[in-house]
Amino acid sequence: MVAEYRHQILNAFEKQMATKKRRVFSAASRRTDSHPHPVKSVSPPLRPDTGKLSAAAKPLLHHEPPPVPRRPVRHELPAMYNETYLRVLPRDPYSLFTYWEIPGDTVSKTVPENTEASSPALLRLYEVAARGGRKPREKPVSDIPVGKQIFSQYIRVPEPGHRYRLEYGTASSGRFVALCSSNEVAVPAAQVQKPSGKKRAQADTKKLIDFSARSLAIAAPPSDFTADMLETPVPGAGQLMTGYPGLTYGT
Amino acid sequence: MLEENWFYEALTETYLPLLAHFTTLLDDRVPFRLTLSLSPTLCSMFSDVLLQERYLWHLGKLIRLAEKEIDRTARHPEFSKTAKMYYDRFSECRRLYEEVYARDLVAAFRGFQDRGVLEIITCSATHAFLPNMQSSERAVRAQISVSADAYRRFFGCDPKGFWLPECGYYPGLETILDKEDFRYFFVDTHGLLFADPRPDYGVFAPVICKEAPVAAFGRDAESSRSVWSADEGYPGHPSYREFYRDIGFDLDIDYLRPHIDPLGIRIQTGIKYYRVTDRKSPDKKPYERLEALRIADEHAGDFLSNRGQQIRRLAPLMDRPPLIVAPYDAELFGHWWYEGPEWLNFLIRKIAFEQDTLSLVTASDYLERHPENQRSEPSFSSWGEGGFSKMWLHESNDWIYRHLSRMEELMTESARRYPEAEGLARRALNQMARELMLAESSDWAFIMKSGTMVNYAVRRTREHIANFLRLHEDMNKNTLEEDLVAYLESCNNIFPEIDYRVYA
Repeated sequence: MVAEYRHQILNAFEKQMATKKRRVFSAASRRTDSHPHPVKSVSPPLRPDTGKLSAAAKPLLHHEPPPVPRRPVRHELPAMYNETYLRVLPRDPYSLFTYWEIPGDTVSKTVPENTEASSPALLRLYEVAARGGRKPREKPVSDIPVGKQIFSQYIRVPEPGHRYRLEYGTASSGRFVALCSSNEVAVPAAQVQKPSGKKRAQADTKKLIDFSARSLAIAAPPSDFTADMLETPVPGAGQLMTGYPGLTYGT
Repeated sequence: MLEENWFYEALTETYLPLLAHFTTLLDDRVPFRLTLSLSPTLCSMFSDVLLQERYLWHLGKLIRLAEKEIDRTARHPEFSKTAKMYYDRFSECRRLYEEVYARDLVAAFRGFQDRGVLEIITCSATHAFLPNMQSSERAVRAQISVSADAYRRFFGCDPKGFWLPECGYYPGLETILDKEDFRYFFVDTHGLLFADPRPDYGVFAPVICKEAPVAAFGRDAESSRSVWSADEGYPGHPSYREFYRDIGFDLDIDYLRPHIDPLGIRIQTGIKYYRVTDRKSPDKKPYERLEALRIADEHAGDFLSNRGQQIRRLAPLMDRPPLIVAPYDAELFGHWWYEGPEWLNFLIRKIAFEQDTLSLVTASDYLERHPENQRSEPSFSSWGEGGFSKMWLHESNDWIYRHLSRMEELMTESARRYPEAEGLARRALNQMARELMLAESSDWAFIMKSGTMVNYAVRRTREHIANFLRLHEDMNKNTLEEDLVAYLESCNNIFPEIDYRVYA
C-alpha cells in the first residue's frame, strides 16, 4: 500500500491537472523575445516600494465607492491631543517605551508657584513588583532627565520580569513634583524560572527544558539594542532626587 | 491593488493547492488532523463577491500570460516545460475555484472541518499585535470578540482555539480569551519556557494559565528550525524554485503590460523559471519540477525521521506522550516555498503509512486526552525578530501608539455616551469601530519597520486615524453627513455586522 500511494500521489495537485483535458497551443503566435529569460545580476526586491499607487488601488474589500463627499476627510493628524497622559509599553526584558503629553495648564495647576521655569523635566522609574512575587512597597529606581520638547522615550530597566511604572515631573529645589503617573507594565522574563521545589509531574524537567531550549534564539542582552533608542546616560541619572515626601528610597 | 495582488498570489499558490491536497488525501483515505488559522480578514476576503470576480479576472490574465510564455519559450526546452506547468496550474486553479469550490473558499475549508480533518481557529479581528494594546483592555476585548463573532458567522460553530497574531502574548490576555470561551492559544518557545512556575515538561506539554483556565501550547524550536532557518531550512535547497526571480521584474515591460497593473507597475506574476541553485549567487539554473518534488519527498522523510528521534528521546523523560507543536505561516507553503504544499502532502502520507511513533493531533485532541495540566503563567513573548515587541515598537513606527490609544479612549467614551444610537449616528459609530480596528492592524507597524512599502503603510494608518477622528468630531458637533459616512463605509467595509457597543 505504501509503495502504491507513492505512485499515486507524486503530486496530488498535478494529478488533478492530469485528469483534465489540456489545451493545444498554436505555434503561430508571435514570439516577443528570442532569449527565454534574460538574467539580471541583482534579484528584484520582494515587495518593491514603487511609491506610486493607482488611484484605483484603494484598500482591499473595496466595492465601487460612492462619490467623494462634499467635505472629505483631511489626513493631517494632530501632533498632540491636549490631554494629560503618560503611557508605558514593555518592549523586551530590558526596555520600555513611554510617551506622554503634559499640557501647560496641568503644569501650572500642579507645580508650586515658586518653581523655576527652567526646572528640568524628569521621568521617574518605579519598580512595582518582582515577577510572581507579592507586591512589595514600590521603590523608585532611576530618574531620567527629558527635554521639554520630547514626548516619547525608550527607557532601560534593571530587572527582566519585574513590573514597572513611571511618573513624569519636575525637579524643584531638590524635590521631585509628579505631574502625571503611568500605567503599570511587566517587562518579559529573560530566563527559565528557578525550580520551585514542588514536584508535580513524573518528569525529568531539567532535561526537558534543555531539549526545549535547543535551537532557541531569543533577544540578546542590552548590548544588542540600538544605543540611540535608549536614554542617553547623563550625570545624575540613576540617582534619585531627595526630599520627595512619602517615599523611602532604596539604596 | 497591491493588497489584492498579495491576496490573489496567496489563493493561487497556497490556499487552492492546500485545498486540492486535502481533497486527494481524503479521496485516498489518508487519516490526518491539522490546525489551520484563518483570520477574520482573510475569511472576509474569501467571501467578498467583488474580490471573487476580480480573482477570476486576475487568473484569466495569468493564464493568457502563461500562454504567451509557452510560445516564447517554445525553442528552449529547459524553460518550456515550466511554462506549460504554469499554464496547467493556473488553469487548474480556475477550475477548482469556479467549478469545484464555487468561489466560496470559506465553505471549502469549513467542509474539511466538518469532515474532521481540519480544526480551524481564528486570530484577532484585524491581526492586531495584542501586547502593544495591553493598556486598553476594552480594545483587546473588542478585537477578540469581533473575531469570535465573525468565526461563528463563517463556520457556524464556536471557535476553540485562538492564534495570537505574531504569537504575541502578555500575561493576563487569557482572561479576555476565556470570556469568549477560547480554550487554547499558542506561544513561542520562550513564552512557555520562561513561564512561572517553570513548565514541568518544557514545551512538550501545554500549561493552563494561572489567571483563567485557558491552555497555552509552546512552539517546538527544533522542528521550527528545520523549516524556517535561513541557513539550514528546507526551502533554501538548491533544487527548489527561486522566489526572487519572477518574470514580472525580468521581462520587457511592454510585453508584460497587459498582464500587470494598468500603470505598468512591475509586480510578482508568479511565473518564475529558476531554482535556488546557490543562494549567494545571482547565477541561477532552470527549475526542474520533478527534481524539486523528489527533494520535497526526501525532506518530508527527513522531517519525519527527526521528529521520530525527538519523540524517542523525550518519551522516557515524561509520564505522558510528548507533544511537538509545529506551527508555520500558511503562506510559507506554496507562496514562499513553492514545493511546501507537496512537502506537507508527502509528510502527512508518511505519518499515516510509514511509521507508528507519532500521530497528528490538534490542540483540542490533546486537551481531551490530557485534561489535567500544570498551572503556570506564560511569559510575554512573540515570534518576531528578537522574540518580543521590537518589530512593532521601533523608532520607525512608535508614533502610531499615541494615536491608537487616544482612539481607543474616544471609542470607549463614545460607546458609553451613545448606548442606543440609531440611524446615521449608529452607522458612524460602527464605522469608527472599523477604522479603529483597521488602524490597529500589526501589518502597518511591521511594514514601517521592515522598510518596504513604507509609504503605503503610513498612508493607510493615517487614513484610518483621520477617518476615525473626523467621524468622532462630527458626532460630537452633531454635524454628521450621510455622504461621508456612506463613502467611508464603502471604502472600509470590513465586518459589516460590527456593533460599536463592543467597546462599551
